[in-house]
Amino acid sequence: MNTATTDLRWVTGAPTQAARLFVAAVLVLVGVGLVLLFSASSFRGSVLENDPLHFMVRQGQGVVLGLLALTVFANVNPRRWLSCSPFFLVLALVLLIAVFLPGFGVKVNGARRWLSLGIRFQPSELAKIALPLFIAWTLYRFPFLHVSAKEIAKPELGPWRARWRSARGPRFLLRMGQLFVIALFGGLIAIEPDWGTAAFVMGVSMALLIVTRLPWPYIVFGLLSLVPMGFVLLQFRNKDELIQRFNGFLEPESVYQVWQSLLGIGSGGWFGKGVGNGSAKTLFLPEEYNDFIFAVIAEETGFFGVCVLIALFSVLLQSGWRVARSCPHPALRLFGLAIVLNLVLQAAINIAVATASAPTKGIGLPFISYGSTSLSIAMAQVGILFAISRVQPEEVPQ
Amino acid sequence: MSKRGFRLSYGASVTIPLQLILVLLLMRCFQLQVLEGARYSRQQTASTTASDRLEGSRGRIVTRDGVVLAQDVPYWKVAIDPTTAGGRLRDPIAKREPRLRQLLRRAFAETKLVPRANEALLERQAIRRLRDGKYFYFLGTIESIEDYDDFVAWKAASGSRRVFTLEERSRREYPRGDLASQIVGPRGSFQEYWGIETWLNRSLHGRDGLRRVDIDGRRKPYHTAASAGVEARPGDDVVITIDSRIQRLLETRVQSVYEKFKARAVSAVIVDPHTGSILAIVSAPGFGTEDEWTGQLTDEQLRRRSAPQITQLAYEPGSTIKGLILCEAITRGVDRDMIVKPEEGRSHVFKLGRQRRVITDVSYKGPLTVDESVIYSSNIGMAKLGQWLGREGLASCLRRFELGQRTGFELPEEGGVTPLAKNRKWRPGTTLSVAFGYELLVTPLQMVKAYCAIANGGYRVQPHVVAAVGDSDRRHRAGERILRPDVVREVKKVLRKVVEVGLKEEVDTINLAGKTGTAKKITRDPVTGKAGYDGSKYRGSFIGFAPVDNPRFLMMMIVDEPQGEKYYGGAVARPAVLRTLTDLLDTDQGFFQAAVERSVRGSQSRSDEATESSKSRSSDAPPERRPDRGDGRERERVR
Repeated sequence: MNTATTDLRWVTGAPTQAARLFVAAVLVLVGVGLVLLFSASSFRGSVLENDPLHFMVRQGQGVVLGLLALTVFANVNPRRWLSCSPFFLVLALVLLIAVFLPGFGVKVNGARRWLSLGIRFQPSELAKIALPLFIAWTLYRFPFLHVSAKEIAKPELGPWRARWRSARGPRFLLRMGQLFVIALFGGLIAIEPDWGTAAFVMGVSMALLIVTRLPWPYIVFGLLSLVPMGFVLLQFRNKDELIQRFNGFLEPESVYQVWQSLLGIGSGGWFGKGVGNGSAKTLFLPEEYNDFIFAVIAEETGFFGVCVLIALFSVLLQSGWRVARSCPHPALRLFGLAIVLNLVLQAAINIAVATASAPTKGIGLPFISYGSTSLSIAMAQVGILFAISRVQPEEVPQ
Repeated sequence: MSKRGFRLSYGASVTIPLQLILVLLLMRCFQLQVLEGARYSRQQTASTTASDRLEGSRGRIVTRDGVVLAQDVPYWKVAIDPTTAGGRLRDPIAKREPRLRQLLRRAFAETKLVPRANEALLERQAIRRLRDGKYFYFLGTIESIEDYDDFVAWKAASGSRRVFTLEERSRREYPRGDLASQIVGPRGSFQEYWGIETWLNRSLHGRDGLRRVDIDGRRKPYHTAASAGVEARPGDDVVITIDSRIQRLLETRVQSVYEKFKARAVSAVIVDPHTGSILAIVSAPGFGTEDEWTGQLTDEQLRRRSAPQITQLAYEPGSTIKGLILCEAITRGVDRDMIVKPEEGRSHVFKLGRQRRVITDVSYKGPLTVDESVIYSSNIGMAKLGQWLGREGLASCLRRFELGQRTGFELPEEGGVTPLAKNRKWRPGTTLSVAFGYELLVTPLQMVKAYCAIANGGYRVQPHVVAAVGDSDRRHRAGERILRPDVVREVKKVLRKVVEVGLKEEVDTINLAGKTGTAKKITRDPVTGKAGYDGSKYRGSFIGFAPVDNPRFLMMMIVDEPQGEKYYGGAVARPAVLRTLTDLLDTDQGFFQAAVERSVRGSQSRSDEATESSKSRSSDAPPERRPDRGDGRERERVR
């Protein structure tokens, strides 16, 4: 599976131990998640659909699809995705715009987040992958972006001053280009409106830039530019809902779903009520099978279960980070980190929302929340990370 | 690091904070679940559970012969969930509407569901509830257990098991209509006035239970909560000493007397003299049906009619007291051949100090001995006997028979007043008046109780109507002896003569004994406003028992203000009492045979318990005191 590149050759080898641990943690989450989802959704399923297994069966299909995606993506050389990244970026951009086209977009609860192309699909999910991939690709494709003062000072690189100067113009343009693309995606997602996902996508992308030593003036500029951007974007959406979301964080009693979530979590105690015995899921807690599934888990398995769940995500983060770090390909390293962040940060936000530690944001718990599309995409990301772990430098014969 | 590469040297600056965030979230969960868990748990339980009152079914009221006079019968309230009747909640309402309509029509057509309103109206309302997203709509009731089973089967067959909900309730039913309604309790909205339904309500009612149910976000209950509530306890059955056949007989007799004499009121009671068990009790006019009295009677009239006068009336007993005075006199060793009325004529003037008092008899029968004064009901003779007894003797008589005192009956009763009461004075004339039954107020029940002692051989009894409440036997036994056997024997002879003398009815008097009574009523003159004896208004009464030697029935009847020529107790009350007693003795065997058969047929344990009292009727009293119908026992008692 050697790929033709100009200067480096790669082979796919056996997965590292960290990668195995990562995938194992994911599989545990998916398996246990399916059981917990059944518990959380059976009441709504039986009331709304006359079928307690309604959600469970569909999620089961999602799991099969996800395992398939995992297997496929684990066996594709991840460098292919790098080279395709501009295409993905354009595709994501087109789809994000298509959301606003009457024929394609679907409006749910006043938000145009979904595309209806046979299956319902959120283009922002694609953007979560495409944007970090694009950033990794640009950083890799245009290496002079990273030339540090230290490196420039090395004598064998020639007259550093000239080199620095020569790179300054394109470097500035490229940096600004990166920021512009991030802002463009963030803006498009924000006017759907989906403030949370916009912030999420922008945050992950910025984190990638930061870990690759984005000079601080850019960071300041990026943050400052958020302010006028926010004002403009607010015109697309009435402010009350945004304020209410913050209220859920500040006064949980005043927002119904947050309060129900807290009642569910709080009543779990040390060891919970036992799987299946929760009360929050009996149509008190909205989205109990989806965005607020953490509340049901916490209620039924107690603090003990929460510890296990958070520990699993912690393992995911640590092992994923080790997988990404040990990859010899710099762009894939960065992309691997993006995947880990995508998964774990999403879990952290979900838990923070459910525990009223963050403003309300409709975001699922990866691997557990209901939704076959998002599960498949998450599993595909796992597959990619697994493939990244298999990328080894070729042993060049002496 | 390749020269085209770039460093991830700050990678840890992203992952470590994220790990920290996860730890913080864990701490947040610790705070919510462990530190503040109890508070959230409490609040959640308050909002996710609800209480459901469970009605403990009310106990039955059963006669001693096993006839159920009052019982709870179950019925079921049927409700529909309009939102899911026509399909899944996800389906559009327009699609669910016709299916809901169809299901409702099928339910009305194919089941025994009794709609609570016009079917078309219910249909329209159900559709409206569907549009409003309401999951509950009350349709009607199902009235019997068979219909209930049919409905459940239909529900399963039509695939609407979860659409209909059935809630069991119960309503009070009186299978025997108005039989003994004055004891059981009047029907309808006046139930609180009187009767066992009211006065034994606590026992009958049992205890309501509480069921905790889990409710979902729509406040719809979905199953019984884990924290089980309180079980409902059914009320105790009450077995009463009333015998349904005797009661039925007495009710017809009283009604015919009431109509025959156009009396203001007629009351009667039949008791078992050995135990004081009331076998039948009735007053006319009765309470009647609700239709009859709605808007017709005043509240006070209703109140009066709803209770038998036997316990509610405080009256001057008149001549019926003479038998009791005779008991006292014999006990005190009076010379019974003493001529107490040597005078000729119907009246006699008694000199009481400076006062003079004229006492008049109904008729002149020549000189009378003590016995004859009672037999011919001579007021003059009794007044003389009263003087012989003196204040002390008469007071002893009143105390002995507990006249003017409440008997301890289970239902409310009047007390009465005697000259012995604290606020009364014993004047010289009182000695005369009391001896023939004036200047004291007693209830008929007190007179019945006193005569029971004569009838049963000298034992005091307590009149009662409750035989058993639940498992506890509430029957009373005969009490202490208050009359010597020889006194009883002698008095019975006299009372038997009372029946024989001047007998006009065609009855076998061998087994009958009794005493008539007639008392003038005290009325208030509408013009002067003064109260006094009214020469035109009487209260005729008769107390009789049979058979004389070992009485099984003691009956009393009071006819209040009979119209027409005849107003004496001997004329208005006596015939009915004697005929009833004779009928009872004639058909007695049949009565109890039937009762035993019923108890054998009845398979329910409760009704067994109810009929047990009739089967073991003969063992009501302690064996040594309670004579059996058997000959051996008879001999033993007479000695």
